[in-house]
Amino acid sequence: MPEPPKHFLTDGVQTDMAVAVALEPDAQLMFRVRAGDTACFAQLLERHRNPVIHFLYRMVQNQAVAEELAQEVFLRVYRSRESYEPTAKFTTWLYRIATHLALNYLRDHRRERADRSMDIETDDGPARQLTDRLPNIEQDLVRQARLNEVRLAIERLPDKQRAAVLMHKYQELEYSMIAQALKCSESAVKSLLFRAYETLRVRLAHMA
Amino acid sequence: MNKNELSCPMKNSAQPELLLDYVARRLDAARAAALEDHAASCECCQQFMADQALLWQELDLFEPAAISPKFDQSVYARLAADDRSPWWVRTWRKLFAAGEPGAWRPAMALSAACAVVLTAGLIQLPGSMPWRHTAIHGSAAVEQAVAPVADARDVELAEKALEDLEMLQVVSGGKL
Ligand SMILES: [Zn+2]
Repeated sequence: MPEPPKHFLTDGVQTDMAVAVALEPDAQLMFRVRAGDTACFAQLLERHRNPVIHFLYRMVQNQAVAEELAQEVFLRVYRSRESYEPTAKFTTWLYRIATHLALNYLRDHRRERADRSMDIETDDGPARQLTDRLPNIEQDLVRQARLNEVRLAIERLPDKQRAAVLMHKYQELEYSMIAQALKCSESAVKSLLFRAYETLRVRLAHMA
Repeated sequence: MNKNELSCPMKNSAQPELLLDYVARRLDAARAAALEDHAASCECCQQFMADQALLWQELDLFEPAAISPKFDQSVYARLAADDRSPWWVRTWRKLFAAGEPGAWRPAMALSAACAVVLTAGLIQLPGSMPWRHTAIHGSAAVEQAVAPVADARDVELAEKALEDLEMLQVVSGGKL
């Protein structure tokens, strides 16, 4: 690991840097951000940008909103650089912030969501990409219809169940990490997941 | 039942997630093999695994959308704007670093934040700055002096703080 510039190293930061050597790479990067190395923030952004936006996109089902919320996530990470303590995995902390923001957004826009889910948007990236990939237009329409069913089924899950499923299925987080992000116990997470998957199996059974 | 034989995850509440983990390919080879052995003679588990595997495939349809090429630029613009914000706004935000490890305990944060707003309000009060010329007697005078500062920005900050407080209370002292 390259040495950070000496003028950034106050006594306190030096001690923290020593501790950071034994930490996960993300925590090490956070300590270097704290020491003034902004290039390390760019590395954190690079490592976590896509998964965080993808998670938020599936949560709110709107790419522009997902990116707005993701900006807020990284802004909060940056703001907390001076008080950062690696008491949990960096990724867990990141998803806790992202989940908190997404759940607040969903809570504040419940009425709009109810209206929108009647006509779920199909103008995002994947739809266009599918058109490029599938030569058969009929096949494309069938696939699009199935995708809409999946999106709607996920959107209709209670917010916490939805967050749990997305973190489990797409982000592949461990139960303990999901539990910390959702501020509940691991057994509660497992129970949320069982109920959510059961609901999804029932809602999407006709597609099989 | 054989000592090494797996008990049915559908009936054993100690390991209900085994079947989910199997479909998600989160089990190591030995545990996956043990579950397959069990499922071979358990219709209940077989059915669950088949249904869950189908669902898993359907969920794969929900791909993420393309990310705006200007995303990083927008993040850096917000960081720069944040760095330029007034000292009292930055202090306020530090006190209410929502969910971030190291955030202060809610009660301390609340009282400290009140002090920040009060100080900032007194400093930023426009025009005559009456408290510099006249003695303030009693809380009514203080309220009068601070009132003009309670503009939309403060309301927004206060709302944000309350929302963050909600989170901090659950987090118990801001530590994970
Ligand atoms: Zn069984």
